[in-house]
Amino acid sequence: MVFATLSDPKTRLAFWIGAIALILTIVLLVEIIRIRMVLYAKKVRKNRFIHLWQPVLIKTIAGETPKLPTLHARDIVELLLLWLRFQNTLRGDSRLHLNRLLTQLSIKPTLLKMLTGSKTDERLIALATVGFLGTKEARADLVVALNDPQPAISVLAAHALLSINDSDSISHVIPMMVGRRDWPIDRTAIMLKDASPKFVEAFLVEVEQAAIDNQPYLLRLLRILDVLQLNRPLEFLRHILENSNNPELVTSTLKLVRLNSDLDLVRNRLNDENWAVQVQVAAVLGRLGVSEDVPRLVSLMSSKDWWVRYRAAKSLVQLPFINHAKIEVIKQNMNDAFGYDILLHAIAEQAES
Amino acid sequence: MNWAPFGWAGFAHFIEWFFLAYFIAINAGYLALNFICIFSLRKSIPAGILNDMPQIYSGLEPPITIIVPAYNEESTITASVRSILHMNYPLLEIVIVNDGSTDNTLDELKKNLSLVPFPEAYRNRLDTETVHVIYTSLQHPNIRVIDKKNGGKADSINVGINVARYPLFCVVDADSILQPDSLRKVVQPFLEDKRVVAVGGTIRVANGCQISGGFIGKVGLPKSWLAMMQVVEYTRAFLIGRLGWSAINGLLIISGAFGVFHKETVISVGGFLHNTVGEDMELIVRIHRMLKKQKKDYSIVFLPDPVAWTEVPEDLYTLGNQRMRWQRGLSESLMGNLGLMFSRNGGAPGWVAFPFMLIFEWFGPLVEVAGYILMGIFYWLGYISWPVFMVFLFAALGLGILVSISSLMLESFSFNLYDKRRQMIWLIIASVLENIGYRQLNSIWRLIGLFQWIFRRKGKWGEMRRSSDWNKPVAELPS
Repeated sequence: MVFATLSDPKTRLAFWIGAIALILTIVLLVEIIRIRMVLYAKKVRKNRFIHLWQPVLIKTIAGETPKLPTLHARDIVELLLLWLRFQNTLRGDSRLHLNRLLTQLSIKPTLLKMLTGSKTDERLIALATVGFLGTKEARADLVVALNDPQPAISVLAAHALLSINDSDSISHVIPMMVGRRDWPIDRTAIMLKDASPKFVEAFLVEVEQAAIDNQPYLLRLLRILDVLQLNRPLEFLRHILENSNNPELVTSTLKLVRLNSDLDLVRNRLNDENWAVQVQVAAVLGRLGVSEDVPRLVSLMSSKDWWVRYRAAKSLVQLPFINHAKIEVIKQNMNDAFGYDILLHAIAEQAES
Repeated sequence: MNWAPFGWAGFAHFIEWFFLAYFIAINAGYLALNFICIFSLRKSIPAGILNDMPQIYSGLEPPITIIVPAYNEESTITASVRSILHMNYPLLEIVIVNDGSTDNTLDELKKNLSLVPFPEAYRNRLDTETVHVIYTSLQHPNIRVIDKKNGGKADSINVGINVARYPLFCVVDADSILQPDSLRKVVQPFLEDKRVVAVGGTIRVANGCQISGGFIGKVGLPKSWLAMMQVVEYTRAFLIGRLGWSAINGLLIISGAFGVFHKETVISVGGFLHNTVGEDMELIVRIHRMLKKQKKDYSIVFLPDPVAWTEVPEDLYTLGNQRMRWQRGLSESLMGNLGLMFSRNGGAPGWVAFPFMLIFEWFGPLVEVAGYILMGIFYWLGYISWPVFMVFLFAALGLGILVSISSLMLESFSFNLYDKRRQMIWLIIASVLENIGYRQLNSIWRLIGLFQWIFRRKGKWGEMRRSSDWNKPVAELPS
């Protein structure tokens, strides 16, 4: 009867669709079982490995020289992941002790092989490891990885090259840091924060040049530079504040102002038509302002833009030489209703903190 | 069309072809998305091997305002806020918006967070219902609670946006639990690509899980079959649906339970719409429509890894209401933004995702329910035989089960959250059973939702009966 039914083309089509779906479902079920068996075996092996090796790593961190268990080739990735987890949470000598462990295990040849392999996960692990070891033999491979289109690989390669810290490595990384806009800004900033003074100087030269040439990537460089919190005269800041009309650029530059000697240029921007610039002016005056800047902040509290009013009020109440009595006087003399409200808001926030 | 020359048998013949073609097309669409997901995950999983390593913050991570809209959430609000407070993120503020709750939500918050009124001078950039009082927490200076007149979830989020101080905001449902590292992961696309305007994460079912310290301690499956079916449904919807659409930049929805948005973009398109029940989807479709119209280069991203957990309904009444509401929301989102479809600059959202949603998700329930009913009628009238009826059912169920099982395979090779053998067996059984009865029931609810939308029933907060077992301390849970 079923075969008689299948003489109709659409019923035949429906039957075959159902049959193929059923076969594919069975194939997928088998695949699910296979995947889970593989994952289970991996999990058991991983637990056994961690149970064996975690105490070894902890003893190594403490400066001891523990007896090393046998390391199978298939467990190297697991060891490196565990090793990296510790490295990422440690500082100082403990890191050096961990580096010594990998030297003892003669893992470098495997690492170099992983660096040039085709598996993305293994390349990333190898790059991160080399980044902590500062392996000079890896430089050529790192330079290749630095040019990889995948930002994750490229950034880790840059980090690893910086750990080698010689002029050659710096000369490779600087143009990439300037040119690769696909590098996540936070990772790039962390790299700069960890970099040697020599690298920071080279980076500042690039920023200076970008400011003089008014390069489109200058904005990104200024944002990255913020991470260093530099407290020294930077000529390019003055250059930008004197010459630029780009609000984004000026805003980012104002964030970097940390010296009283630059205050005159900041004050010149008080009546800038862009509200975001005025917000940063208020923030700088809050950080560095003197008593003559109080009326400036009070005037900003009457701005039509909420963020300008808010930042000005916050800066005002945070000034070290402003006490409760002085704020009361300003409050009494405040004619603008918006300014009055925002001052109350800032006072309440100050009291909270 | 006049079927007289062909008679009823001819009509039945045409209908059979139509439904067969429709079932093939919809399931082929999902299987195609499934393939896109496999490629996407095969690329992203190895690249994310170091993502779970301890991270150093650069200080350049954008601060985030977390908006928690709450309406009658007295049983879950405190646990939810606690879990947010323990998030692993350098700078965030929490804005809880009490939308005129009629239970003790506000009292719970006052009691647990030591709230005091705060003279907030905020900007009213989006029109909202009246705000009564703004409170700040004495215990946690980064928490504010807004008590406002009832105006719905969208209105509450808009109030949250008005008082938000940071450039990004994240909407978290009061009954949701985030993973500690969810925010760090969900913000990453904003740091990597300046064009990103919204990022959504995966929602998982919290029923059956255990909470410890405000986070999911032990992942478990719910005891209720209804909730179990939803575990399969959520896995399919997020791992296949969202990830697949995101890969081709055609994502039309970011779940209201967990999403991060660029505040100025949302304000520029007018914020969340008040008179819709599907405000989360409507916003994303509107962002697509307006930014495409303005020829802006932007991106909306879905990340499968950052996870938020939410409680799903365990009774038919609540589940039915929820699905009807979702279908009304879908209708409002699509019909309110029809201009996106086949628009000149529409790209993947306008030329692929929108028509797919319209044909298969919006119109789908009508076709599915009509298909089952008409097949039954034709069989009863004798136009089709019992074996033919069974063959058609075999094809429809077979394709449905295949899609569900393929989502379980994706889950196994990607995140493998349900890693116990027994859990996977139950999920496989649920994947099969879900297609027999549950799916058809869902189609009926969605069809009712479609009719409700046609007759313009007013939207309101989705009220939900909660067991909140997952939210109780472990000691209170039945063994």
